[in-house]
Amino acid sequence: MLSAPLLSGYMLLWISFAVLTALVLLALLSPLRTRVRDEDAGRASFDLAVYRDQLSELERDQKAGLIPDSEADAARNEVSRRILAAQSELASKEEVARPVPAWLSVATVIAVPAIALGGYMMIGRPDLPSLPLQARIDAAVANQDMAAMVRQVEKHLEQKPNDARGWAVLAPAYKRIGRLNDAANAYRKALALSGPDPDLMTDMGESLVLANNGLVSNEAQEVFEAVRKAAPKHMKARFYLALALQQEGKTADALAGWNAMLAESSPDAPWRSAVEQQISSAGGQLPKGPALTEEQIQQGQQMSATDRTAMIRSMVEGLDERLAADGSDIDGWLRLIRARMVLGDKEKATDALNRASEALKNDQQAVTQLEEARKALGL
Amino acid sequence: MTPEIGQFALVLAFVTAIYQFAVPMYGAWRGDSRLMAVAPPAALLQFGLIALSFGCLTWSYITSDFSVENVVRNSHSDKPLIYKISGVWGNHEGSMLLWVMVLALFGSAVAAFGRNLPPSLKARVISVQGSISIAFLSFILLTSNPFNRLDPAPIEGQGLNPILQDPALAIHPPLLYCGYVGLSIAFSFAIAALIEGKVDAAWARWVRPWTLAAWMFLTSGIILGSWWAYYELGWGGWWFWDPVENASFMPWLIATALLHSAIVVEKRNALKVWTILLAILAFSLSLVGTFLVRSGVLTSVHAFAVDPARGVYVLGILCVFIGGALTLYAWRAPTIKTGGLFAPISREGALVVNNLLLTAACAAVFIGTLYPLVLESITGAKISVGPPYFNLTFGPLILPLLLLVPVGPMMSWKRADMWAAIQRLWAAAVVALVVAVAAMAWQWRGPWLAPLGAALGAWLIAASVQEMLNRAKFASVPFAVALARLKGLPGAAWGMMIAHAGVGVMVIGIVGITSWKQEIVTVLKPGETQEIGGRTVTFIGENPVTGPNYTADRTRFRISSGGVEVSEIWSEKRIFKPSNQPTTEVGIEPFLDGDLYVVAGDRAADNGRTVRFYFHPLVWMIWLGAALMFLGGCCSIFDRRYRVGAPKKAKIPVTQPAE
Repeated sequence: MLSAPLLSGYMLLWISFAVLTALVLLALLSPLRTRVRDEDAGRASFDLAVYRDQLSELERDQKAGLIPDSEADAARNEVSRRILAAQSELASKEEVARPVPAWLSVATVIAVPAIALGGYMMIGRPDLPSLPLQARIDAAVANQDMAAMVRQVEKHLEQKPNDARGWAVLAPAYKRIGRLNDAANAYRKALALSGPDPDLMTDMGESLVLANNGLVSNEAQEVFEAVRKAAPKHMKARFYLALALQQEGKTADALAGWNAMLAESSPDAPWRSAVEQQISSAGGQLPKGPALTEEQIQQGQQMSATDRTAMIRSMVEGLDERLAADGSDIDGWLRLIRARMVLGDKEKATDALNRASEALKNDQQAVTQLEEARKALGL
Repeated sequence: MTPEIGQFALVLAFVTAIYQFAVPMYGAWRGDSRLMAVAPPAALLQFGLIALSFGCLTWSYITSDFSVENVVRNSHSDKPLIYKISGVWGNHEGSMLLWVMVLALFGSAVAAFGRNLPPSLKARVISVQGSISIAFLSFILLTSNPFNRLDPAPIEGQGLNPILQDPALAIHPPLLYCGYVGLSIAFSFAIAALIEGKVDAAWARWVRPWTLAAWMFLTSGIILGSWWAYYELGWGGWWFWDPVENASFMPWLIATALLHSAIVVEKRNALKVWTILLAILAFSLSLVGTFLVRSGVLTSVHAFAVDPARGVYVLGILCVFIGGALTLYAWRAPTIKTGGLFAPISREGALVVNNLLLTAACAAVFIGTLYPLVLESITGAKISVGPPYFNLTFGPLILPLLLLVPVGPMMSWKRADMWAAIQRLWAAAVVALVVAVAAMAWQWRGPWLAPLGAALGAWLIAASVQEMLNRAKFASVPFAVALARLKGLPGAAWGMMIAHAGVGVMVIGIVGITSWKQEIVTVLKPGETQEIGGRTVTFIGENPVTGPNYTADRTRFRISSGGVEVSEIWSEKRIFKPSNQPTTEVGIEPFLDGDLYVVAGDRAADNGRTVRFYFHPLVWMIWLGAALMFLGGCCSIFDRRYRVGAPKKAKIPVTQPAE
């Protein structure tokens, strides 16, 4: 987001800071340079001014007939006594203008900018420009600001809710910023306005699956079925239908579905790796269960963000289920723990570690390995 | 960039506050007029910097800059502009920023208008103001920074609590803060006087108008909050003895006492030490109020800052300032020369009684507010102290005070004849008696005390009027002359009369709403009617309504009196975006004898709706009374006259001077 005009904004910010600091120093130091009049320094003279004022007030009130003469006289006596007392004090002058100690000016010039800058650097964020909403939305495309682009389209759709293309643009954008339910709804609106379209329907189904933590709900399944009826070769729909079968426990049917996909697709098809991983995680082709290695997760990261999430989640859940049924596989446990950590789910990683320790408590070597993993991962 | 400039300006303001505190204090100690002359520009500069900072935050709110965390938490781009702006102080961080801005504003007012103050007093006052600024600016910067940034920035804010989206609440906090913080001036003057060991004539002259200004702001702030609670919360009450209300009421009571004792300092040069103590107490209670509300120890609509770190910090500030001030008081107060003497029965004596009763009443409120908190922190037991406690403690203290209010102004300074003063009030007493009888006739079934309460209010009003008529001498000089005299009476006299009458008006209003309130809860279907307060209310029906950031069901009612349609009112149940928080908008139709108050409840079967009807007799008199008190303050504060209290000649001539 650092573009040329912004950079100059950054400069401008520091220039403003410098100007502000200079103004503050000027305001604080200039009184030290100005000459102070000495004639009014006598303390009692201020009291005298007040008392004289009181006397003239009294005079006015008496003339206006607001207070009786007797009261006015008594009050005048009291004020006069105070005036006499003040005049006797007047002789002594208490304050003088002395030369300003040099250290004060020097300390001010050094301390003010130092404390201000130091304090600011502790809590400030000079690197962040201001982001007024309207300007942000206007510059959304230039800045690749996904949230603002979404907002822009939303505003447009508030005006024209029947713009099918608008909904079709908005839906994947929602998906990218993680608003999955909104994405599904936007697809639904786009479909309602433009009529059935296999790609849109599949994307809607996928959003539903993702919003549902990787589980293929009945609604999603119906959508995928509809796509298969309209376009039997639609690979993504078939992929999710197979996943649905696996989640229902029909692993053999699921494997058949995925294998059929592999058989029909060219060797460089983009979905190949995802399908292969799905097969390996679901099936008994590998002797020790799914090989959920760091490498595989790396591979997964090259896929699109949403596919990756779905893939990793389903694989990890599969591994978890298998280990819950048979907890004797120490390598499987270690893979699961690491995978949980890679996904950023520390709680579940700890949970897996505890379950592993419980299942393998009689295997001394495994216990040591788990202890090492616990230390290495900081759990 | 804007938020960062605000942030930097705030840090600079903090540095300036340190300078403002240290250099003038050192200069005053050295007796160096050049160093003391630094104080005014520093105070003005500090205000400028905080205002710049506040402006930057406001700009972030207006432009919906969601890279600022505070804006995200408390604003929403759909909000109307006025609530975007009021959102700035509708939250903890922003309201603290407003707090220090008002503090700096008062400090710079001393700097700008304090030409007639002795330089060392002025320097010390501004320096003490600076020390308060240091405490609260560091509090903001360290625990409640309003300029925290978010990266990446969300695209939309979370909105402001809908019940805070209200015109009265948009100005309630600024007014209340002007009141709270205005008392800091009296505090700073008190501390400066203690350090100097001397109370100047100018000291007395300054403390009273500043206290009066703070008191006026407090009065209007409290009553606006109360008015808001009345029409927005929909509970049909106006004062709940809620700790947050008490937090603002306690400084008000002490400020009222201070206001009266400052008159004695001003006119008679007496009660100086006591007045200094009151000045310290008034601001201390403001700090306690700030602590109670800001620390989150109370759970109410105001407690939006539930964060122990903040609470501890404010508690620390509290201990340093209150503890420090009282220690200084204990050490230095004996060095201050006492002034004029007076007999127990005198205007001064009456003002002392006023002070004692107000302070005792404040103590009662203080205990009722803090006891549950202390008990909870020690034993963990949760109790709530409600109106019964306050009626039993606050009531007996405030009633004699109200009864005596008219007597004080009738007494002369220095020594007075109590019986003569009371005799002069015979006309007011007759009016009060008539009102009591009339009230009994009007509401003959009502509580027995109510007519007496109404009589008390009438007594206050009638005595105030009578006082003015007496002063203008309507009884002894021709009417035209008396009228001219009435016009010529000093503003302070008018202020006192209007404010005291305002208290009377308010008392009648309070008696009305507490004794004669009617309440009916029922289920109505469209077309059905309900009788209340001598009027007939018909439920017309309901329709959906869309506001800028809410949707609502509006239920409409027709009011008719004696078969004639008078007006139509509505009540709404609103659902606010984006939080889906529901609020209720009350329908109120004011009549001369009271408010008809309608609150729509939940839907019932067959298109029906639960509706709560209230009739609040004379409630407008509460608001009018407060407005009169404020108006009285205005008259008094613009009175530039300044008189020494004129002692009346005693029957036996006294030759000895009073001092």
